[in-house]
Amino acid sequence: MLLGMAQLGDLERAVLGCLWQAPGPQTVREVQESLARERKLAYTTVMTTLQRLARKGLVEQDAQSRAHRFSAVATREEMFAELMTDALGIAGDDHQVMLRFVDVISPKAREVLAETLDRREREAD
Amino acid sequence: MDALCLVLLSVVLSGLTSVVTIMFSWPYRAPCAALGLWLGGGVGSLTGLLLATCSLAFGLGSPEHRVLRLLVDVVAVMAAWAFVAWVAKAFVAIHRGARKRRERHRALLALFGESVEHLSAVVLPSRQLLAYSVPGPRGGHAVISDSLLTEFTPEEIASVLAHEQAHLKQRHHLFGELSDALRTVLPKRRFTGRFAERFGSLIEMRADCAARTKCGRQATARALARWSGTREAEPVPALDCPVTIRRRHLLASERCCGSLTSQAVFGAALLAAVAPLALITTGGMAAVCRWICH
Repeated sequence: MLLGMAQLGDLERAVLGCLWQAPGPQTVREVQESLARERKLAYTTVMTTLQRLARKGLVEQDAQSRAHRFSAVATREEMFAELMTDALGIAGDDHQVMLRFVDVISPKAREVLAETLDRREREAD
Repeated sequence: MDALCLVLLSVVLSGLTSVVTIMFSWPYRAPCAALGLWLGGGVGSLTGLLLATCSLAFGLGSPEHRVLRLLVDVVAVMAAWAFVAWVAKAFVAIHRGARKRRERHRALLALFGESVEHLSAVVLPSRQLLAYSVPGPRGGHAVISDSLLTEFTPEEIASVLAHEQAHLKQRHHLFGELSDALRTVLPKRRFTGRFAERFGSLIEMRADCAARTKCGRQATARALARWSGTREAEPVPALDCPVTIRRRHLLASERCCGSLTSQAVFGAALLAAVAPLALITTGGMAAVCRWICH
């Protein structure tokens, strides 16, 4: 069951990685050409993958232009942050998870976190 | 026989089984039986309500019944069904919302997670200790973080995964959504808060039972201890945090839910589930109705 997800994710990752690196929205042909250096993919395969990513809400399609252009809805960092926030929420026991989180982050990140919490507290007062 | 009596029986069954499961500490010694009792009460309540509706529709009321008349019966049955419909509506809304969130989460997991075939799990790159399950098509996914792979022993990892896979196989997310639906519908009081909390703990303990059956109770208890970051070999009796309670349950008995208390509660659950039908077929319900009316 899990193998299927890995294969699917592999291609999606490559296509999304290409969109992340691009300076702006890309056509299917542009994505296919970018990926051609690593793997040879049919135009329809790239198109299907992009449409699948759009259905999943990871990619948005600009229907205004004649040639369909695709771009990622968020940066890689933003998507990873969303995944981790969601994962911490699902994993439950928020209290313990947050305590462990404080333990594992870098001193610099801890400092930023403390400052943010201080600022929020002052704003609340 | 009176529809109102059956509606009252339904309310008593669901209320009593909930109170008995939530207000006392015995469910922590017999979590599977406690969940069974709560489900038995639910099944009994719904059977009672269905029988009340049949009684109303086919005019099964006793001729000597004079005090509680048809109008009261109709109002009682309709009010009960309205409550059931309200809970069902809340459940469907919560289920749809959760399914949408899970779809999004699965999409992100496919991007950032690595499937590890021999573990039957998706591994996330994270320094956080993470273990959870994402229900979905083809059985869903157990997810762990790579820090768990480095910090836990193979036996402990197997036990964590068995726990998460038990959540998936036994569809615990549906129980959680049902609990959330009831919490939405019922007034926001201390009791409803305790209900959700207790329900969540019992579901976790049920998954612990599956993990202990597969990997042994010592490995499961050790994984829990490591998860909570404790170095104590034995759970501290004074501490009543959820993980301590779960460890205590694992270490206290040889078999999961094999105690006398569990057997008795399973019996009570069965009785609660068949009570309305049994009372009607044996004529007990008519006697109770006559007693209430006169």
